[in-house]
Amino acid sequence: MSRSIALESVSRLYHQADVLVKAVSDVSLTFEPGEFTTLFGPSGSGKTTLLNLIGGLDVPTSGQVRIGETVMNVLSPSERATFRLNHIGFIFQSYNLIPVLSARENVEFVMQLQGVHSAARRERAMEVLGRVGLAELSDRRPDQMSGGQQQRVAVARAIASEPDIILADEPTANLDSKTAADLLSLMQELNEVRKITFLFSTHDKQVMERARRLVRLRDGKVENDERRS
Amino acid sequence: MQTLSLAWRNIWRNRRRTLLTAGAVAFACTVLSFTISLQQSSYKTAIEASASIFQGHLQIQRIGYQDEPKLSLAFPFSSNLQSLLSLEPSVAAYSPRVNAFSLASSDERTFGVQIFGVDPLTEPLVSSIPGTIRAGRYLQAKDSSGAVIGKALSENLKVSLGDELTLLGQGADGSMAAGIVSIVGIFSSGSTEIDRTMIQIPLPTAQEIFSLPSEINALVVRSTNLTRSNEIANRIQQILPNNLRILTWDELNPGLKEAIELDMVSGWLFLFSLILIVAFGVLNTFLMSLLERIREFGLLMALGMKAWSLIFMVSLELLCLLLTGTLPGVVMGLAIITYFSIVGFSVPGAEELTQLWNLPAVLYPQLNPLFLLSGPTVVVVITFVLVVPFSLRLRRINPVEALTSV
Amino acid sequence: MTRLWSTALVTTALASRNILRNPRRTLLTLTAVIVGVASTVALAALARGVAQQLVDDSIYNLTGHLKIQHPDSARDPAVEHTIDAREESVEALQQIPGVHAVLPRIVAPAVIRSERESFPITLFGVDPGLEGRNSVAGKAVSNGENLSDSDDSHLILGSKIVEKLETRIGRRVVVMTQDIENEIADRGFRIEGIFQAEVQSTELLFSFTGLETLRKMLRLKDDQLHEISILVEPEASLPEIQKQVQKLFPKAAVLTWQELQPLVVSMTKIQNGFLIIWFLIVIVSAGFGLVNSLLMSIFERVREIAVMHALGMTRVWIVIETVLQSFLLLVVGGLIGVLGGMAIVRQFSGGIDLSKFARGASIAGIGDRIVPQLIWSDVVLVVGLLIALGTLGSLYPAWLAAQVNPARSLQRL
Repeated sequence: MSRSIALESVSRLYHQADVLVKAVSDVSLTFEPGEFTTLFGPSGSGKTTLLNLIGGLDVPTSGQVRIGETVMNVLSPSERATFRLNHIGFIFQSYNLIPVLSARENVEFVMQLQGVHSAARRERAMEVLGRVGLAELSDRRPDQMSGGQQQRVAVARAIASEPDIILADEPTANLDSKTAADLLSLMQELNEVRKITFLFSTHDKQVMERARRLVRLRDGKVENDERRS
Repeated sequence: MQTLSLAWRNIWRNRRRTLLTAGAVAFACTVLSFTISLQQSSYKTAIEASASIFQGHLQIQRIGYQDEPKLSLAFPFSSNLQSLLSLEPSVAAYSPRVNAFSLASSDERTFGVQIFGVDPLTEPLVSSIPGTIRAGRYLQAKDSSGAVIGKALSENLKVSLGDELTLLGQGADGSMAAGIVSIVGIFSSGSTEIDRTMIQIPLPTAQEIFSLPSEINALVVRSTNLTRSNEIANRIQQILPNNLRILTWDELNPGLKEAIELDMVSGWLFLFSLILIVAFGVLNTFLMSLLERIREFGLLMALGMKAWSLIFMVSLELLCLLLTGTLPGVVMGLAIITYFSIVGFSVPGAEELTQLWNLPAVLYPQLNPLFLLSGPTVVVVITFVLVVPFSLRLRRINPVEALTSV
Repeated sequence: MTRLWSTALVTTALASRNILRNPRRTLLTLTAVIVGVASTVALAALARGVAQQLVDDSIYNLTGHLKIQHPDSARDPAVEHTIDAREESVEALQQIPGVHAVLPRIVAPAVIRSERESFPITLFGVDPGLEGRNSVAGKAVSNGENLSDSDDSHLILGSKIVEKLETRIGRRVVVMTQDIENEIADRGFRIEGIFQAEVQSTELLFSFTGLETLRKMLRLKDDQLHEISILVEPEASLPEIQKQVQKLFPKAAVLTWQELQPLVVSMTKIQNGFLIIWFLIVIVSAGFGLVNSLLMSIFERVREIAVMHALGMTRVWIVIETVLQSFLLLVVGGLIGVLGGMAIVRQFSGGIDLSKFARGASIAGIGDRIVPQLIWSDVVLVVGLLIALGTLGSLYPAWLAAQVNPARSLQRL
C-alpha cells in the first residue's frame, strides 16, 4: 500500500556544547506516493536530519511526522523500528552492509526480521540480486566486493523487503560517475515500475538532474521546492 | 620524561578501556595483597605461638637428641656455657630442662606422662606456660617436691591441688626412677597436647629422680628476633662445644615448617592462576590498542622516530597502565588489612582448625610492606614479561603501509 | 511465532559470526576463561581430594561411621568407661538394615617399652576376622604376620614406632597399663607384625592385639567392651541407623563420625566456603576481560549496529545479540576449561606425592599422597556461575550497544 509522507511544522533542535543547533526549523512538506525527490543544500542544511526524522530514526522537537495514517513521533522506539522494518528501506552513503553476512544474507536480513519463510526469502533475495546484476556474487562478503557492488546490494536489500518508501542518504557519494549513473538508472526504474517513493539527500549533480522534484534546504529551512516534468 | 608524559596521556585516550583493565589489575592486586598478608601473618603467629608456648625460639641439645630424645643424651649446664650465652646480645633469655617419660599414678589412675624438670626462675622467660596457671601457683625455687600439671591431665588423673602423684620411670643409667610429688598448680597452656601429657617439676628434683647430676637435656633460648633465628643460630653454634648443637624453631618443629610450606605451595597455585587470568586480560586490551594505532605509529616512524623508541614508549604505556591498577589495588589491600588488624579476622566455624595450629581464634594480621607488595609485584612482572614481546613486532612496521592502512 | 523464530535465528548467526570476526581477540578472551575454569576445576578437585582423604582416613582409622562408647569416653579414655555389650545386643546390631560391619573393641591407653625406649601408645584389642579390610586394625601387615583371632596374644605395631623403639619382629616388648581394678597391668608381648599407614601419626599411636588377650589383661568381664565401631553401606541413612543403635544401647553414647571428628567436618565446610569465594574471584577477574573485549568489539561495530537498528532491528534484539556473543564464548570456554581441568586431574590420578611435607601433612591428618577428586556438582557450579555471572556482566556493554544512536553515528562520515 502506498503511503504519503507529511511533515507538519517539524523542527529538530539539539544542544551541542553550549550552542543550540537548529538542524531543522519549522519545515512543512508533503510527498505523494511514487515521487522521486532530491533534498539538496550545503552541509549542515538539515538534509540528513530530515531523512532521519522521516525514517523514525529521530524524533522532532516539535511538529508531526506522518507516514500514511501513522504519526511517527508518537510511536515508541521499538514501534518505530518495526514500522521501518515493514515500510521503509534505507540506503546509506557507505557501510550499508553487515560485514559478517554474505550479499544474499544481507539482502535476506530484513526479511528474516519480518518473519518471511526461508524458501520464499531465498527466492526473493536471488531475484532482487539478479535485478541489480549481482546474482553471481551472492555468497561474497562485503569486504570481497567493490564500493559500487556494495551499494547495489544495499539497493537490493532495500527493495527486497517491499517497502513503500526508500530513503537514500548520499548513496552515490563514494562512487565513480559511471557506477553512480548505473545505480541511478536502477533506482529510477524501480520507482517507475514498482511505484516506490524515493527520497534522496545529495550533493551529486547527476542525481539532481534525474529527480522530478528538487527541494533546496538552507539552515534547516526549505528555501525552494521545484517540481520538474 | 617527555616520553613518560606522552605514554601517560596515551593510555587515557580510551578512558573506559583503560579503567576496565586497570580495574581488573586493581582487583587482582587487592586479592593478592590481602591474601598474602593474611596468610603470612597467620604463619608468623603460628610459629610464634608454637615457639613461645613451650618449645622456645632455639634449643641447645646434644647432637642426636632431637632425633632420638634419650634421657641419657645429656650435657652439663656449665657456668662456662652460661656466661657465653649471657654475653651474646641476641639471646634474651635461656632456661634449662630435663625431659623424661614416665608413668604418673594418682589414687585412682595411672597415665604415661612427659616429665619436665625446669628452673622456676628462668622458665617463665622462655615459655608462656607459667603464666597460664588456672589454679594454685607456678613452681618456686623453694619447692623440692612440687609439681604443676596440665588441666586435662589433672582431670584424667582425677587429682587437684595438694594431691600427690607417684612417678615411675627409668633413670639415665638404666636404673628404676621413682619419686613422689605434690601438685601446687594447674595450668591451661592452650595446647591440648601439652595439657594432656605434661607435668613440670623443679630441675634439681628431676635430676635426682632420674639420676642426672647437674646435667640437662636441653637449654631453651629466647632470642631477640624470631625471624633471624638462622643467623643467630649460626653465631651461637660457633661458640658451643663440639658435642652440642643449637636448633632453630623449624628444626624443633619440622611438622609445622612443612605444614606452612604445604600451605604456601597450594596457596600460590591458586594465586598464580589468578595472575595468569589477569595477565591475559591485559594482553588482550594492549594488543588491541596497538593494532588500532598502526597508522599513528606509521606516522611517528615516518617523522623519524626509531622503532626502539616506539617500543620503549609503548612499554612505558604498559607500565603506566599496570601501575594505574596496581597502586589503588595495593592501597585497597592495605586498607582492608589495616581494618582487620584493628578489628581482628576470624573465619566462622574454624575453631577446631585454629586450635590445631595453636592459633588464637581471632587473628590480627600484620602490616608488612613485603606481604602487601609481593603479590602485585609478581602481577606487574609477569604481565610485563608476557606482553612486551608482542610489542617487538613494532619493528616490522613499514611506515608507508601503515599510513595508508585504514 | 515465525517472526520471533527467524529473528532469533539471524541474531544467533550474527552473534556466532561476530565472535569469529577477530580471532585473536576471541582467542585471548577464551584463554582467560579456559585458564580460569581449568584451574578452578583442578584445584577444587585437589581440595576435595584432601577432604575426602580426611574423611576416609578418620573413618578407616577406627572411627567407623558410628561408634558406641561410654558417654564419658571421649573426654576421658579411662579403662573403666566401658559399655555393656551382651552377645544378643551385638548380634542385633548386625541385623539392622544398612549395617555393613560391627567391630567390637577394647581400648587401653598404655606405655610400651622395649629394651631401650618407652613411649605412650593406645592398645586396641580387636577381632581380626571382623576388622578385616574395614579398618586399619585389620589391615594386612607389611612385614610379619597378621593376628589370627581374638585370642591371639601377639602384638601388631606401626613401623614408625618399631623404629623408635629400636626393636623388630620377633622381639619382646612390655606393655604397661592400668586394669579395671586400678592396678598396674604389665605384660610382655612378642611383636608379630608391622603395619604401615597413610598418616604418619597412625603408625606411632596405634597397636593391636587380640580382643580376649586384652580383656584378660585388663580383667574386664565377658560382656564389657570399650567401643563398638559400626560401618554402614554407602547408601544407608546414618541418622536412621543411629537411632536404631541407640535403642539397643540406651545407656551408651552413639556418635556419628562427624560428631567424633568435628575437625574434619569443619575443614570440609571451610573448604566449601573458600572454593565458592575463589570461583567468584576468578569469574570477576575473567569477567573484566570479557567486558572489555565486548566493549572493543562494539565500538568497532558502531556503524553496523546503527544500520541494523535503522533496518528495523529493535534495541532488545541488539542487546540480545551482544549478550549472546558473551554467552556463546562462555559456554565454549567453560566446556574446554572443564575438559582441561579433567585432563589435569587425570594426570594426577595416581595421587600427588606429599612425602616432602609428610610431617606437616600429618599434623593436619593428611597422608603422604592425595588423590584429587572431581566432584560433578562442583563442575556444574563453576560452569553455571561462570555463564550466569559472565552473561550478566555483559549486559553493560550490551546496553551500550543498544544506546547507539543511528542518527548521530551515521552522520559522522
